[in-house]
Amino acid sequence: VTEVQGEDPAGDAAGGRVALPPLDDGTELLLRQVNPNFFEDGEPMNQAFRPARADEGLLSVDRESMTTPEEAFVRHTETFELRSIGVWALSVGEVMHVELDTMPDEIPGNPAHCVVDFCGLSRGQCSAKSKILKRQAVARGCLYRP
Amino acid sequence: MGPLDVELEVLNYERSSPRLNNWLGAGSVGGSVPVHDREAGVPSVTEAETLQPRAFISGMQLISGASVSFHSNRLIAIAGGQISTGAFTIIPLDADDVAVGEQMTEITSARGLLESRLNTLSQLSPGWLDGEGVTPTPAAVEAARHLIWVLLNHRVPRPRLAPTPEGGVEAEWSLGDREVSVTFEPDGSLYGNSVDVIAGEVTEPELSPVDHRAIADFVLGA
Repeated sequence: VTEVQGEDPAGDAAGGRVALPPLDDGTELLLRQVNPNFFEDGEPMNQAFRPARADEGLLSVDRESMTTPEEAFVRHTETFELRSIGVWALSVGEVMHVELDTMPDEIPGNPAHCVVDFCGLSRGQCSAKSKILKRQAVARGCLYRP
Repeated sequence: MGPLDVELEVLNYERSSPRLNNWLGAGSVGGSVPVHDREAGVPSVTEAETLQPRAFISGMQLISGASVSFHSNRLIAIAGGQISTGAFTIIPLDADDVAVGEQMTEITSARGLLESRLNTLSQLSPGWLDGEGVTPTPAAVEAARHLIWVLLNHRVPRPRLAPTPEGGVEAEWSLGDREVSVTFEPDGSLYGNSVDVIAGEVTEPELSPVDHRAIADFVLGA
C-alpha cells in the first residue's frame, strides 16, 4: 500500500504518500495507455511516452504484475473516462537503460499505478528518452486494443 | 543529371485555390544551372505561356502570370503567379516520364495524407489530451504544411504528425537507428530533436524555417 494518509512518519507532509524505492525487476512490464492523437499509421508516437507539462514530469504507467492490459484499458477509459487507443508496454529494464526510475504510485481506484520519473530533465533529454522508449514499445507491439 | 540547390522562392503566399492542393508544393530542379539568387530576384523572366506543358505536372494553365526562370532553355524556377501559392512542384524538362510519374504519384499521395492529418489536428477541441491540450494554432499548422510539402521534394519521407499539448504540431520520423522530430511551435517557429537509439547520441540543431536544405539534411541525417 503506497497511500498512507498521515499515518506514517516517512510520508511527505503534503499528501502523506510514502516514497517507495524504484522498481528494480528489469523484466517487469509497465503498461502505457496511448492517447488517440498520439497515434498514426498504426503506431504510437514518441509523445505518448513522455509526460506532458501538466503531468509535472511524471509519466503514468501500470504494473503488469498487478493488472492486465485489458483491465488497465477498461479502468482508464471507463472508470477514469480518459481516452486510449490501446495499450503498449515498456519494461522496467528499458526505463532503467535510459536512466529513468519507475516509482510505485498507487492512486484511488488503481493500485497498479506507477510513474516514470522525468523530473529535472531538459526538453531535449525528455524528447530523446521518449523516442528510445517508443521504439522499444513499438518493437514489442500493442498488448491490447479493443 | 543530379539535383540542384535551387530553392523556389515564391512571393505572395496565399492558398487561394484549395482544389489544387495536391499539386502545390515546392522543390528543386535538375540540371547544371547556378543557384537561384534570391537577393537579385528572378534571374530571367518570361511569360507562362511559353512554358512547355511537360515541364509541369500541375495544371500549368492556372499559373499564368507567374515569374519563371530559365537557364539554357530549361526551366529552373517559378515564383508567384495568379493563384499565389507558396510554391510549385516543377521537374526538369528532360526528366524521364515514368520516373517523374512515380515521383509525383508518391508526393501527391503523401500530400493528400498530410492534408488530411493536418485538417484533423486543426479541428481538435481544446482539452483533447484528457482535459488538457490546446488546439494547434493556425501558425503551427501552416508552418507544418508548408515545410513538409517542401521537404517531400527534398526526398524526405512523409512524417507522422501529432499535436503538442501547447498548441503546436510535431512531425516524427523513424529512419534506421534514428528517431527524429521537428516541432512546429504555436508561433510557427521550429524545434528539432533527434536521437540515435543505439548510441544514445542526441542532436538539437537550431532550425530556420526558410533553410529547407538544412532541415532536410537534419531529418535525413546527412
